[in-house]
Amino acid sequence: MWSENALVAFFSVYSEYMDRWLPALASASGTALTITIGSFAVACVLGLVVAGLRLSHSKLLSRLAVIYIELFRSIPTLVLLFMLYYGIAPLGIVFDPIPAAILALGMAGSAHMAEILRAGVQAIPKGQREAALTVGLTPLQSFRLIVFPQALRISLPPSINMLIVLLKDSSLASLISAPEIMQSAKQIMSRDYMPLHILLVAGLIYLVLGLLLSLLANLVERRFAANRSGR
Amino acid sequence: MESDIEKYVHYVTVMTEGLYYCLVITAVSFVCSVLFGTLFAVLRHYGNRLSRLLIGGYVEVFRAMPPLTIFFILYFGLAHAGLHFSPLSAAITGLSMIGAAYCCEIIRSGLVALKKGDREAALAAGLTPNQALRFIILPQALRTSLPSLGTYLIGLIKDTSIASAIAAPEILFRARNLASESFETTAIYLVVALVYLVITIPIAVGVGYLEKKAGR
Amino acid sequence: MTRDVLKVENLQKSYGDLCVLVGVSTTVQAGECVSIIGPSGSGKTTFLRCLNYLEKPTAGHIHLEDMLIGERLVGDRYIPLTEKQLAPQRLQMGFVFQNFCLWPHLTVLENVALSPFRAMKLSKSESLAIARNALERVHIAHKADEYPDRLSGGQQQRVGIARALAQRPKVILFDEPTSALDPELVGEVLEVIGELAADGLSMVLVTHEITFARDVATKVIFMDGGRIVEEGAPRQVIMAPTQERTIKFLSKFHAN
Repeated sequence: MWSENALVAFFSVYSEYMDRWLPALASASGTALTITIGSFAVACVLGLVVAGLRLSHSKLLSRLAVIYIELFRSIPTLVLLFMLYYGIAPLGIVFDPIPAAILALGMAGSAHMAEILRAGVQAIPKGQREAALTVGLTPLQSFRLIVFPQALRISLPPSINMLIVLLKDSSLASLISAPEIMQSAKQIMSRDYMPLHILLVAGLIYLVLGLLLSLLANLVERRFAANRSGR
Repeated sequence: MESDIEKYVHYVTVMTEGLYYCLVITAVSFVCSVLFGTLFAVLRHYGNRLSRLLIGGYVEVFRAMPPLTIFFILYFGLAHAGLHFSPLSAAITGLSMIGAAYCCEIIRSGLVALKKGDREAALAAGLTPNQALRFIILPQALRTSLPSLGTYLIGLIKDTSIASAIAAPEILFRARNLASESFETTAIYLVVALVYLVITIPIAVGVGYLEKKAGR
Repeated sequence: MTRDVLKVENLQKSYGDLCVLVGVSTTVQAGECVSIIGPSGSGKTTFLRCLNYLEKPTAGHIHLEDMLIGERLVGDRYIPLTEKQLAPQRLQMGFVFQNFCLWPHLTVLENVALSPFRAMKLSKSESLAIARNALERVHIAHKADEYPDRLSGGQQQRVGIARALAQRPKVILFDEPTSALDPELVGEVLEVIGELAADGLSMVLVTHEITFARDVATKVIFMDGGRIVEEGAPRQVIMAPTQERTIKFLSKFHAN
């Protein structure tokens, strides 16, 4: 099986089909990135709100936030996706595949985001908050000027990691027929067959996109290094 | 026309079967992941340049690829090349391969966290490097890795749901079949969510307890 | 007659069953430098932190000049103030922390100018001018644009003092300002504090530096077990203590 001829035959398939596959895969990658970035935005906004509730002084709000976080961290993302796309349709709420994916992935991500932000805020030493109070700042000013800017910087690296997780999760959108990479691969498989070849290409695309996002993560981490000097 | 009770008994039976397979997939994959993960971690931490490179590459690839893609490659892709996986074995193999990559990194950070003195003390006491590894270093590394392994376990349980896409007989696959038969989609998916909640929350509580014990 | 800057009446603080301050009463007059000494666990840091309500006393009252701190009198009942209401009161008392607690994401100048700009609501140019003045006073103006992590401990603490000065406070509270410093850096900070005392700044200093208390303070308080054991001029409390516990605490100092 590993003879030279077999290998040549294997790779020659690509030269035959690649120019047909590339356009489809390119636009599919665009959709995958759209879903990734869209759900990241949703996760950030929702995550901010939930983190705020989690850290509030009200025991009730804090407990509600904990329930939300545990819920969305325990339920598989695919189940959330199906619930949103199929599960609530009988109740009259119908989503298109891409918005459903962005919402479901975003909600799942928001739970992780809330925990990331919470860790960031709690990483700020108590003394800095006290110092802010002693110079006459109100608790709100202390949070806005001292705690939040630093917490944001600490939260940056884990947030970028979450972006990469969302990229992988975007593949699940193929199961509700969103026109992203795996869906495109399935269509190509049924039309041209050659499943191993096309699936390896799909996998490679995820690898490359993930690598690009990782590089972005390293750049951001170096630029906004969470060491004490801050800038 | 089935009565309501017959219908619900049917649902519960099907879902329980799904739960059974979910737990089987999880258990086998977890054991394989930890075993291979430990092996890879040791090879990467103590090995030569080539092993570090190869295992590093393996880890990067299997952490970057979506589980869905890996399942498809094992189930559809390799079938074309003559290697046929059943849905169940494709699910277990795929999750084990991904899991080995994650567990390798988890256990490796446990190894890195150990002080050099632990190994040197073991060698000074007359143990061979092999014995030092088996009796002193690995047990300690595994113990500190427990919370992270617990978190990985929760992720693993959630990822078994993706195997429904290749018809693995687990919870979500059964649920989708039930939903298409009965059209009671809302209720069914709510029950599915509940089942996952019930299985993962005790583990999450356990992880929290372990982390507190470790003083984190 | 010199007026009282701070008047403390029967201050008590308990954490659950643990009673840390048993009942402390004292005054600080304008221009005084009051040094509080005592063994660890005597309650001296808790007492200091109660003065600007970083810790809430369980009983007792504090007056800053004529202003009641931390509470307001409604009829004959005392209602505690909210954190937001405490802010303008705290503005009038500077606080210097043992661990400096500078804000690492701001430059030295920004650290010192933050209070005038945000709490006192002065203009940006005025705030920066006040900040530069304060930094000059502690001899560290040349580091204005650096970030705190590039400064030595002694330099950071001087910035902390400048930060407190920028508030134009009526009194400055120092919580063991040199305890976290390497020995060779202690001197520069004590020198600055001494200069401020000579300028007539009212201050309350919790410290382990007995020599400093003896040479610079105008009043020394010895605390032990949550109460004031002895109080008076340095030449009395330190050089000629009358209470047995004071004598015991100072015995090592006198032996050197």
